[in-house]
Amino acid sequence: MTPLEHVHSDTLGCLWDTPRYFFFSNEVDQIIYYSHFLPVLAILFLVTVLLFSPRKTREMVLLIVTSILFVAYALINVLLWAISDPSQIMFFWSVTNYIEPLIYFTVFYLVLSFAFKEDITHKIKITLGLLYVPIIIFGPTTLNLTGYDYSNCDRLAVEGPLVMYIYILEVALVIWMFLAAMIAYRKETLPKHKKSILLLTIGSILFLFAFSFGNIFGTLFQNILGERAWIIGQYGLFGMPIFLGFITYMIVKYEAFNTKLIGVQALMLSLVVLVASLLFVAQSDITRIVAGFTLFLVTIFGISLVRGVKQEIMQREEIERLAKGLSRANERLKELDRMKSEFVSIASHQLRSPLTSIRGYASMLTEGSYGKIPAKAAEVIDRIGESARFMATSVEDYLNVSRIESGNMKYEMSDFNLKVVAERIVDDMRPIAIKKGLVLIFRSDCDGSCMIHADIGKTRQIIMNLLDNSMKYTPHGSITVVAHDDVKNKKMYLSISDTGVGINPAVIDDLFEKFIRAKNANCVNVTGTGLGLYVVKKMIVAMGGSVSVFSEGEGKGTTFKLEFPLVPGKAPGR
Amino acid sequence: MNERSMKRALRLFYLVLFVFLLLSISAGFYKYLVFHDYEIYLGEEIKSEV
Repeated sequence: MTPLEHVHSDTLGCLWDTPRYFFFSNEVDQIIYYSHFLPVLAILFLVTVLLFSPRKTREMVLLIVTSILFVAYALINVLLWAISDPSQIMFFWSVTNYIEPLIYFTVFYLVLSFAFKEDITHKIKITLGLLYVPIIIFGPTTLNLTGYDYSNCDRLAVEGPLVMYIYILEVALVIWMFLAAMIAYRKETLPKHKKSILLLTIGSILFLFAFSFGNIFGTLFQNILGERAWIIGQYGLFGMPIFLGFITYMIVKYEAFNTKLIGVQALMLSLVVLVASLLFVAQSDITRIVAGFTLFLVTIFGISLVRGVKQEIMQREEIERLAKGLSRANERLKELDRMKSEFVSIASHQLRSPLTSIRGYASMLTEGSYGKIPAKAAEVIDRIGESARFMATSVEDYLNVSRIESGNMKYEMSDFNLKVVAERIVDDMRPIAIKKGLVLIFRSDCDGSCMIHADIGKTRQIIMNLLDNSMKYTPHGSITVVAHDDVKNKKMYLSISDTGVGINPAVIDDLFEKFIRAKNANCVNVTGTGLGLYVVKKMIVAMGGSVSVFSEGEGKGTTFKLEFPLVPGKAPGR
Repeated sequence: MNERSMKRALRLFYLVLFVFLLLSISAGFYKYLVFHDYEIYLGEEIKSEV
């Protein structure tokens, strides 16, 4: 069979090579096959990848529908180039005018749905449907295609006013889509999604532009260039798989799709293979140059795309894993925090109030408010009072720890004379020391003002706590409190030294930790909570000071040293 | 109209549109491929009605 046997003359005398397998005619420019079959194959592959994805979002379904519509459109378009029968051309040409606006509808739907993270409203859906009604009604009439143009054997359908309506509708949809996406962009607070809205909108507009370029160019230049105008217009289709790939990449990157790396890799590989194969089958130089250039672009784009997606997926999975763990830990912490708050509430209201009553009544009984009581009973009541006092102190310690850890401890800072405060406390506590057979001494050696800037209440609490500790752990001997300053270094010190049981150097570093007590502490005082020094340290640090402890070892006494920044000035009365 | 019936109405609307779309394409099929009902232009003049 010679090539000439395919060529026939149609009814109007134009010679035409009969297409083989519907599509392949020697009359058709190679570029037409290249610009149609390549995007069709690439997009069919994309559809396959999307169809096999385990989870299908709304955007994904819309992308599949868009792709299928595009494939139908492109195949009919190739058919239009290859066939020569005017009736067939008129029919298939009219069909493309039904498909084209549908592609705009689905892309519009996809962008709005992605941008607003929800389905479009029923009103918009009805509007889109109503806008399509004229196309359905006037599709088979002369308003769509007025006739068949056979000038110079060009084989073109002459388009009527309905096509103009379709173009206006498409432009309006693009503008509407752009404005709506920009509103979503401005409303969006998440920078990641903000960026994705912008990129997806740009990608979609480029996709639609690439898709319509052939029609726009063909319609605009048909009168000047004839059939050539439509051939040049076909170059726009080259952009289709690239932009569609771009849209897919955007959606994959921003988690709307769960399509994994393998899909993107396979897609890019098939694109490269397809374009490369064209280099071998191309018959004209121009096609080879276009194919070579596209291969270069697709390879570069493919490598960066695969790398980017791979990195994104790995990072995303890692972040997801961490976020899940964090979320679980957060829930647990919230639960613990709630329980802690509940406990604090119980401690403060349910424990403290009865303790105050116990202490009050014990004190009243001892003082004889309810009549004289026997000496033995008085001793027991004393013990009850003492235990209640200890319990109240413990509760207070727990409450302080709770306040410190939740950041609710309030400090009312003011300037005051530390020497005066310390001396008063020593005077107040001296009777207790004497009762225990201890000597309590106070000395001061201030060159400066002895003034510090701290919370006076909390400072009193700290000093009383340390003095109380010293008395507890000093069975006999003396306790010396010394207030002195260092004007040169602007420091104010208060040291509390005792001749008590001392501290083992092994535990001295951990002494200010929660629930830590020296090993020999229980020998002398069994009632400590191990929270007192922790609270002291936290409080003094919060006020800008520090506390340190010195002991030469067990049985050699202990010294606690408080350090505060000295407020400049002269000591009153000096 | 509640959300559910609105959805149903919308689905019906689109179904009707789809049926009419098929009818419209079929009408084109008969017009062009069966009855050859269209005009052919040859330059400025109308050559014939096929």
